[in-house]
Amino acid sequence: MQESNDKRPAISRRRMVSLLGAGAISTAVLAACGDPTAAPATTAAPATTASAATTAAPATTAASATGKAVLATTKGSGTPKKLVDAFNAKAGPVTIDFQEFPNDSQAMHDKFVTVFGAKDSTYDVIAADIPWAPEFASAGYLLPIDQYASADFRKNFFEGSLLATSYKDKLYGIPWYQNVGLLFYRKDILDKAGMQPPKTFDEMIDAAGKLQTADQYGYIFAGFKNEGLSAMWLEILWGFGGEFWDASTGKVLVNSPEAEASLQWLQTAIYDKKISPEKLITFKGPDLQTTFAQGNAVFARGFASAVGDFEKDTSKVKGKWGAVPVLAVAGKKPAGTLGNWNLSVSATSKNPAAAWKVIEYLTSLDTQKAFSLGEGVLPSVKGAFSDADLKAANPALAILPDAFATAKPRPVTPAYPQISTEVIQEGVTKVLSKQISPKDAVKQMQTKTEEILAKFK
Amino acid sequence: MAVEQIKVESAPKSHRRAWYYLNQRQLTAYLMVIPAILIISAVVFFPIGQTFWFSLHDIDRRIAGRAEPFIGLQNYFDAFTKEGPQKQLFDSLIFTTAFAVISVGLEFLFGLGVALILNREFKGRGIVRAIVLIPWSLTTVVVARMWGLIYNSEYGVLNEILKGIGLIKQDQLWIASKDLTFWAVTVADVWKSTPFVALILLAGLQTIPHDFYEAARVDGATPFQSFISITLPALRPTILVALLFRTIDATRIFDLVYVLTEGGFGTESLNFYTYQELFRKQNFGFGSSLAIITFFYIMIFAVLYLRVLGNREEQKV
Repeated sequence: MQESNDKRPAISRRRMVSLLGAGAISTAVLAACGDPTAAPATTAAPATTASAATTAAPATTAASATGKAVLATTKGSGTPKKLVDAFNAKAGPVTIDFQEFPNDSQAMHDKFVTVFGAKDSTYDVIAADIPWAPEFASAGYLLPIDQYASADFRKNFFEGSLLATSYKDKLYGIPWYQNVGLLFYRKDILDKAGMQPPKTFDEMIDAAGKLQTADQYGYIFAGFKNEGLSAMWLEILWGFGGEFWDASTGKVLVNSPEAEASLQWLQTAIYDKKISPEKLITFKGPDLQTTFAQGNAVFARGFASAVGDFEKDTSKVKGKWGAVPVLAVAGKKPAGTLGNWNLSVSATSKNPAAAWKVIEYLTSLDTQKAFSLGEGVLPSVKGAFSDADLKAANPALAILPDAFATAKPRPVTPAYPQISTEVIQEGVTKVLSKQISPKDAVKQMQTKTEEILAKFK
Repeated sequence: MAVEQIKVESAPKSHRRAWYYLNQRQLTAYLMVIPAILIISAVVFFPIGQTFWFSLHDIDRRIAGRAEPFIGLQNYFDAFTKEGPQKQLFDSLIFTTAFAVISVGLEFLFGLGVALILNREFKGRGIVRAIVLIPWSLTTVVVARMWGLIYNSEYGVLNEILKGIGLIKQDQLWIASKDLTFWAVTVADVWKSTPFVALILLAGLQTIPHDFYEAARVDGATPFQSFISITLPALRPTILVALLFRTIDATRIFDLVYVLTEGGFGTESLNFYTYQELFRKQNFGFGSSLAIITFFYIMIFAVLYLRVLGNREEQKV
């Protein structure tokens, strides 16, 4: 303090430095949204509009497929890496450059938005979460692969799974590994009571009400306000015979008695029949899986991928659970929400033919089997579901072909991420916490979705 | 007057010379700062400029080939006046401001207390100082995950403790409640950042000469009096630096809400809102205008603090 009295300029210089520093810090904010590596690049992405890359698909034939294809995925370096190494060891005309990213799907999404937004051609094949297919296809980031995927090839996959990657009558992705919503139940408890797993929503209320105890919830689901909530509610909506929209005409259909009934059922389950605890609103996917694995619930609506958690040695329900397709009202087919990861070819790829070879390899029956066994994921090719080794490894495998045959993708539109966060999650959360009536909720969902979709007509 | 006139007349000559005649020293000096200037321009000014340029356009990257027309300040008008975005912007501004003010306030109070304790001589002080720093050394994402477990409504330790001491009867929904979630986020941040404030304040405390306190004691001042009259004034510049750093950091809050609440239940910060627009909606035009708004918002805090800091010091002189 004494010193600064004699040296006035020193103060102002210090002030200047700190002002500059403050400026730099506030600038950092612009770059601070999201992945530190992804954000600045996006801000600096060239302002040119997307080129006509999608329409200019090179007419290469499979014969000319040579060279290196870069595969970008968040899927662990365990089995996928081994499979890629095996492919490269064959020394065929195509080699794969395997690039693994941290297991954070949102970060991967943001990275692709950044890279493809900048017209970068680093990646040839990308592993993409299911809602990204229409989003990236519409943005011109992906190459339509209709010319590569023959009718015979497509027969290997479930119809709903391919529907999820089709945008404006073109195909943009092939499922690599799959996921779908299922209803898990405690086999031991139901057997003891001499009951069959419920099929309809009313049966669930009865069964869960009868079987729940003070420290065992009747029916649980992941009710936290995130993407999982949208996936869960859409199943209930479909189960009641409702539809969110008509994909072919783009007409929004959510303001319907069925949609209202689906939301009403959730409120009834929590507040009237009390088969589900109010705290489900804080449950994220992992919380749900832990609760069921700890033996604290009779029924749980989860994703098929949860099986790994239930079969762990630390699980208290190991060997004591069963799975059936999700609920539906009598006379309606249950439809689970698909949670697939797809392989797509980037629009910027300089070697799409080689990229397609990579997709063919990764979705061949043997590769799928090894992948599924090694990583505990569900295969995408139908043939793998009858495999004895896979059946032994996953007790739920037998019912999965049925579940996948009726499973549906979330609304296939580039606007889906926005609809999910701003409309579905918002509305369902408000209903779950009783801030709004189901009737008003579906009305609001209808108006908001129409507003959002207007841009995409 | 005369002097000034002479100056004006002679100015052009020397001025023109100065433009391109640099002596060796000046030349070297310029050459040495040029890399730094270039780097700062590339990483600071260029992105700001580009973001601002984007913000003047209507850009929605979800639709390939869509025209991206120049629309002037329309994005800014939308942000402040259009019904939906306006509410979202104001809500996020209110949350961000309330969070910054309350969390930084608490961090300052706790940090000062910790710093005063650590400034005293006691056995094992070195170890305690190191331990206190642990929360600050953790990555925010890790902190958020950890507090997520603490707040967990099913297995969380917080509900167990509160139930154990009889404060609550039912499990509280810490991360999904209109009233509690704000505090859940704030407490996690205070836990993480208090050590940072304590560290800076401790450094400030150690620069205060012991003579001051001895003199005060000789004059018969109570410990409280010497705290008010010696410690606080001497610590003022340090306090302002700590508050400045923390406030700017707090207004940037992103990762904590991204992991803990995913922006739900009234915890959508300005940065999270911007991120949603930019990355989830690929709405680069409007998203950029939010980024620029955030930039100026944080500048307000920075300038405010620097004014206070500067004025106080100059008044004393």
